[in-house]
Amino acid sequence: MGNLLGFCYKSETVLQKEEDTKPVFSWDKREDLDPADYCFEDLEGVTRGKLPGQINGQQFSIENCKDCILFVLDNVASLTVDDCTNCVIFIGPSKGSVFIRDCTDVKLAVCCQQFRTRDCKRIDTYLHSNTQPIIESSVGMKFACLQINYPLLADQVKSSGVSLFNNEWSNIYDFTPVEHNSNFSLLPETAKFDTYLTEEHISSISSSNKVAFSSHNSLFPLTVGTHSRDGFGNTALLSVFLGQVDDYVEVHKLLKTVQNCECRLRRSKETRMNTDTVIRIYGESERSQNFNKFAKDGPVIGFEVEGDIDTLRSTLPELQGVLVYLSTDKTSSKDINNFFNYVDMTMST
Amino acid sequence: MGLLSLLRKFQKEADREVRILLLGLDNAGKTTILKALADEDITHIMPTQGFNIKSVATTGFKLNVWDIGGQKKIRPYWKNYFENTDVLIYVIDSTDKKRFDETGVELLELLEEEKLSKVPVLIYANKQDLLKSVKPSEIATALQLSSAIRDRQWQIQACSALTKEGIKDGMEWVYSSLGAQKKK
Ligand SMILES: Nc1nc2c(ncn2[C@@H]2O[C@H](COP(=O)(O)OP(=O)(O)OP(=O)(O)O)[C@@H](O)[C@H]2O)c(=O)[nH]1
Ligand SMILES: [Mg+2]
Repeated sequence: MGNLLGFCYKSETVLQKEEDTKPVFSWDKREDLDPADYCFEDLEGVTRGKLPGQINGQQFSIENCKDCILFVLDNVASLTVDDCTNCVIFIGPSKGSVFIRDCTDVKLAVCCQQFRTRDCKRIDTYLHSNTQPIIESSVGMKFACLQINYPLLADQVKSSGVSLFNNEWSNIYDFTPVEHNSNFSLLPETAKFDTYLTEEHISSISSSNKVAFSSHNSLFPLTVGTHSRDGFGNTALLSVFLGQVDDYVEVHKLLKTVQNCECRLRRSKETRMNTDTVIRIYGESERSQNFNKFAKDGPVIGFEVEGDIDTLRSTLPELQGVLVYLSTDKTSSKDINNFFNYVDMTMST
Repeated sequence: MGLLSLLRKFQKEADREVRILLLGLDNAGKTTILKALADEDITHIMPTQGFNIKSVATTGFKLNVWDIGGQKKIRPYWKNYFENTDVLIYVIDSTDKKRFDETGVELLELLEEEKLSKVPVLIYANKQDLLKSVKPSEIATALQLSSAIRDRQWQIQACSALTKEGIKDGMEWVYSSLGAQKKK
């Protein structure tokens, strides 16, 4: 910044002149892309898709479509869906927000940094949202945890910056609540996105990109969110310190074990931690000194698990290059509180 | 003026606290801009349910930046934050053509507010990094800014809170408008 004391009022003409000599921003040099390739507009009764590599992290929009099946198997910068009726829509990871406006009877599967709706009716959303989803002036909104995988999804998630382990899908905030009724609810745990689709739909979009909407091989972990209730067994904090490992292969191995021993995840978070925090949450033992080293190099993931924790403890797999922590009966409730309170506090803006 | 008094004057300038109000529709990018100004991580920002405030120290000013949530339901609360505002920063999502009218109406209403009269306005035409963004000059025309904004300093600045480009240019205009205010 320049010399503050020297500033004087600039007349409009001076400002005008400055506009001509303004610095060159990256968008002044943007490659020439045709916006028409980055939207679905005014379609009726058709199935359309974009394949991996066709969108490459650009902004995408869907407008004024009716009775359509629309797929984007690529990551996007942001997504808006406006004035659509009776459509089934899937969009790959969105670096920014997904904003749904003036839509009715839409089935949606999305993963994003932010999820927002306004003036919508009856939208079923299979959602993975890194932050708390919000709805405004919307009714009959239903939510489920997104379960999906296809060959290039992991790479796309990575380049979008969406975290696999921060999912607030069930923690809806309604700006316009009504008395005696809720504008939103959770879909039954048995709900599946592919019931809106046939094999032909998927293969007509791409035979080589096997898209599976099942929890069996889902890249996004299944969390029960506010579906969880007492009676499913004990709860524990399961943490993974990734250190220098920069993929999630080991974490997915661990999650397979969780599934196999009648346990499930209530919620999951990914965060960074400093030494003080590691000690506060995981104690000051010899082990936590190791945790500390790992926390300096990479993220810490925490799962609240419920179910048969003893079996889980005895079958924890050997993992390569990462550290695993599973709380004991004695420490579980304290650990869970410490971990999730810390995350909520540091991530709430 | 002796050296000491000059230093004292400078000290006083350095301490000047400035109240900046960040307004605009929901999803415009206000909180992202706030965090970019404070040099904080911008990858994990949630829609604002109330407001955020940050103090940013720069050479010469202590900026108290108030970022108020822009959902339609909570826009009526904006007025609770008008008092003593030195500069209004109004943020527009330059890609959201569907809501140019809506954002124009909200801006006009702000300009009518007694408590904001004569307050300089910086308009950030945000999200210029995105494919479907509209240029600031076109936004100014669409919203008829030059006829709508009278009796105050204003500027529209292209920016991207994501790449951080243009943010500094806007803030430099803010500092210069403060300098001009001081002269009055
Ligand atoms: N590509 C791109 N995305 C941006 C930019 N600025 C903000 N965003 C994204 O736009 C979305 C909304 O940003 P916020 O900062 O939450 O918007 P806000 O104005 O604070 O919204 P409310 O809190 O609801 O009033 C987020 O997903 C941001 O990542 C930008 O310059 N470029
Ligand atoms: Mg905000």
